[in-house]
Amino acid sequence: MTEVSFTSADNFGHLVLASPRFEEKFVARFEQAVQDAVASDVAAVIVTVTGKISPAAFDVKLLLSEEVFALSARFARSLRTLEMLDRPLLATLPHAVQGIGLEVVLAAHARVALPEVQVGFPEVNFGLLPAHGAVQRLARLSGIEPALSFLTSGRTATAAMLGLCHTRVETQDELLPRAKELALQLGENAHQPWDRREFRWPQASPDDFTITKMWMATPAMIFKKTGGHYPVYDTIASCLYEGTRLDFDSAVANDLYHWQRLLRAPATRNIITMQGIIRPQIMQRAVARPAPATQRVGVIGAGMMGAGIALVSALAGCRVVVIDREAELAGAARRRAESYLQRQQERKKITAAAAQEVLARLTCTTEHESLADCDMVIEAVYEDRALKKDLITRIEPLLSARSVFASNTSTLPITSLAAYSTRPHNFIGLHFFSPVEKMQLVEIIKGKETDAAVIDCAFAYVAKLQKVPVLVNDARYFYTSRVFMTYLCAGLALLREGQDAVMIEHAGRRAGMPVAPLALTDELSLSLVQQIFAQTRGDGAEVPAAAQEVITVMLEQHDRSGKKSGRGFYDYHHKGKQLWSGVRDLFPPATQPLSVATMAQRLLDVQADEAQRCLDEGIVQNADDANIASVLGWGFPLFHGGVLQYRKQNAPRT
Amino acid sequence: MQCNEVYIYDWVRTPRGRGKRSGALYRVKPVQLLQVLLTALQQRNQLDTSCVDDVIIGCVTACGDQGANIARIAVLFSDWHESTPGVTLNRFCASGLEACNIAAAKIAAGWGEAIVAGGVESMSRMPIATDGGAWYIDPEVNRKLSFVPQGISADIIASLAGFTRRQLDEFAAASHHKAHQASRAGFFQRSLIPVQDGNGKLLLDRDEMIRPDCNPEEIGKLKPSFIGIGKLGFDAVACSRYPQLEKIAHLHHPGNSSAIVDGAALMLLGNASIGKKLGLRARARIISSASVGSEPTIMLTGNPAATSKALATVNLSLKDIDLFEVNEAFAAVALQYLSTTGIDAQHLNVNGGAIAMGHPLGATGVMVLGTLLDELERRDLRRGLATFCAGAGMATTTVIERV
Repeated sequence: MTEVSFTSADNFGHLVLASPRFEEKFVARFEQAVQDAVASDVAAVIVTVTGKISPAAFDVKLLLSEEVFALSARFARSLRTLEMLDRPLLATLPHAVQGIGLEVVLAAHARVALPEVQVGFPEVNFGLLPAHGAVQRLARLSGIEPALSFLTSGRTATAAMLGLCHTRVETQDELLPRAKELALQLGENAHQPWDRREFRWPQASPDDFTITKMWMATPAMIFKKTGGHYPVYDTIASCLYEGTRLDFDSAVANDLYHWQRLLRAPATRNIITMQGIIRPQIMQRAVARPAPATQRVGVIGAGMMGAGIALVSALAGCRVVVIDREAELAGAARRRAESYLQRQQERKKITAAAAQEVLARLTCTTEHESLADCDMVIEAVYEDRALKKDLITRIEPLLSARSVFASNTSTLPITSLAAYSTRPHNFIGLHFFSPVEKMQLVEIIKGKETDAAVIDCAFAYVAKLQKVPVLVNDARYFYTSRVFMTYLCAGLALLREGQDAVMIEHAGRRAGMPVAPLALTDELSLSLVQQIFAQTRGDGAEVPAAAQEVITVMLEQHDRSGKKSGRGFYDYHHKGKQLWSGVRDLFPPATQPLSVATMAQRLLDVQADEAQRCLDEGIVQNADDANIASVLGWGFPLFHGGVLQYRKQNAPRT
Repeated sequence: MQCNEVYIYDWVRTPRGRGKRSGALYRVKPVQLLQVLLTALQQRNQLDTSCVDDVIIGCVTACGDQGANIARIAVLFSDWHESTPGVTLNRFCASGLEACNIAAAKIAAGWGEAIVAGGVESMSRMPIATDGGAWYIDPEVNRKLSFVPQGISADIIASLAGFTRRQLDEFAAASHHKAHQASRAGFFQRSLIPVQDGNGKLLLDRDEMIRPDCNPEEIGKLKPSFIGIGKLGFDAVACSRYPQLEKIAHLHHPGNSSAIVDGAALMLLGNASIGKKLGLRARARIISSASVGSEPTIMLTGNPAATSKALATVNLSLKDIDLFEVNEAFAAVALQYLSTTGIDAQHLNVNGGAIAMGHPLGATGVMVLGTLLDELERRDLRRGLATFCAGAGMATTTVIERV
């Protein structure tokens, strides 16, 4: 709960912000507290931010409305009133502070922190920035270059590292006495550095040649990172550049102007809608489903996928049994978990004790019987129907009647696998993506006879893993693989048309896709694509002719199968890759060469149209699911807000 | 309106010193570089400076030592008559040439009889970009214009045209050879004013950067200069503007790019009557000039368009021109000019260029135009054309004809 309070005792005012969140209520209370502080006769004010850190501490609906601008102006004004109190304003940092709380902390005249206390502005990860003066304060406290890199990174750093900390103390108990001591030292002339005549920029002034050189390269560096699609980075750069050439108050006013521009940009609105509305809603609904918590998970097969599923389940607190043919193979899951946890420890993301607990929850064995008391058993063996059939028929009888059997298949219809089960109503598909610990989506595939309660179970389990569950109907390649393939095929079709390969690849990147189409085909390998085509045809479905022709020509006439063999559309060498020189001569050049922009649009439109068909056919349940699965599943550009949101905004079709 | 003929009466330049602390002209203030030349120009022509209607000085990094209208300040500092005003201008690398063109246009229009056009740049004291500027330091502008540094632009030109490193290096080595020969044969002597300090001690009397022993094999070993900044993000910007390129071939390096130097130059221009009044001999006429804008990311490809525009004004074609000068900002710029215009390489930059002698940004235009005139006279040829590409996608051309 957001709370702001101002109390006074012993001539000191205490401004306490509990779990600050950017919303109307918070700003109103903050204003009141600041007024109380101004009216009071305390000698100094001490600010403390308490409560749990939440990365998305803002009211998204407010950010999407026009009301936000007036509210932001009010908050910025209040912060300014607070820092111009004419009495010492100290902040104590007993623990990590982020976002709006850190904005308040920066308004203090001095900060007292414990050495390891982390601060951060995670706003940038949501396409946003701290808009109420923090950009200007940070630049004037830490320096222009550190402010730019800190604000655009979205990462945390220690307050000391940013030069924000006047004094460090070793224990919590010392914080307040030290702050009071500092307050008395500051005396009556407590002002922000930028409100003093003798203000000097830390490190380098805006006119310093190092800063000139930094600004020269900054937009290009941002462009390389964002492809020009994520305006927040450019906005931060402009706020900093322009603000460091203005007096403080004008600089904050200028930030608010940029804030308005940023919040009106479609990319920002799409990003915060996806991150701040759609995703939390999906997660809340998943958690709210009436299902018993999954406590024990069984994983069959300790390959890439199986080991990954075992790891994330153990991390989420489940007890996990991993089965493979041989002990050595099964042990791969443990080794994978160990190396992952090791890395997390090195990055200080997890304590050694917690890592040990995770490992303790993981059992690797060859004994099928160990699966007996699992609530959820997931098979993650090769995509081999006979193998899967054998495992289903052998293992199912060992399980309790209410345990769920899930297949991690990405190609075989769930209903057809459920046919091997004696309890098809307990059979479901759980399509994890690789690498499992990183990819945040899981497609839940409903077989013809899957029970509603089993679906609830799957949702609860996926939510427990803190992954996003999306329910998909049982059809060829389900949802994500099906739409994703259209992107790849459209790239191949452009090549078949005789469009320039270099331009096709630029078009993929211009479109905002994480990997260009030909490079992507190489990554998957052309042989795999050929197999998928063959299987599709075998199932009596149609294969895009142009794409098929390109793959066949590449494989059969040129023996180029992709990255693994070092030769595909690209030549691969130790220094990197370069488009194969022969790629230009594969097909006669197009009589009408298309622009990169046109090709980029086509690469997105084919996905949008296919996703719409999936929605129409009931493969996905709704647009929100289709959108989030496109972003998390195959990297459809987030700035478009997902594949159907893109269609709504850019490609209106009938 | 009837236009006045514009005559070149005289021109002078300083030698070009290495544009570093180790350079011979580093300790010479920019205003002194101009003082040396203003004094020499006055003395060798016995010039009544009160007859000079304006002094127009090209200066790119016009801040610090070079700020606050160095043209007017140099006029006063050099004891020229106080009635002579001064103005600085910035058309980036073409500033000196543009100073000549604007002076010529004023004289042609009758808005001045005698004007000194010139340029100055102490790159050792005022490095490129010291003056900042919205173009590249304002992130919003920088992004909108797809800014890349000129070296990246030159590499884009080479990548698009498929120039090889060897071609660029051969052109660069030839520039040194030609400049060395011309220098040794004394072709530059007539217009070169040695720079001395206040005690009369000689600081520099020849171009400091020419390397007689330069060869393509040797400079072939130099590391390309722009790989690092390309990787930082400029290559991505370049490829987004030129998506036909898979990657940028980084081929330019200090050996095949113009050298960074200090120097100044002045040219005395006037109409016929002032020449008679002052007893000066007209050497050539400025018959045409033009400036154009071109795509700003590749930046340096405007020369052919500026050339066509300048020639069309006076109904001339390329074959009417006896000698060409294209500023050697980077080797690719000259090669691109050759391949686009189809002119004979034998007629281009016959005494070398900025790769060998250096490119003091604001002054080079005057130096090149003056050197062209000297060479036309030496060879007894009629017409010459000088062309400069310039920052943010521009180019300027001037055509002269001997009288």
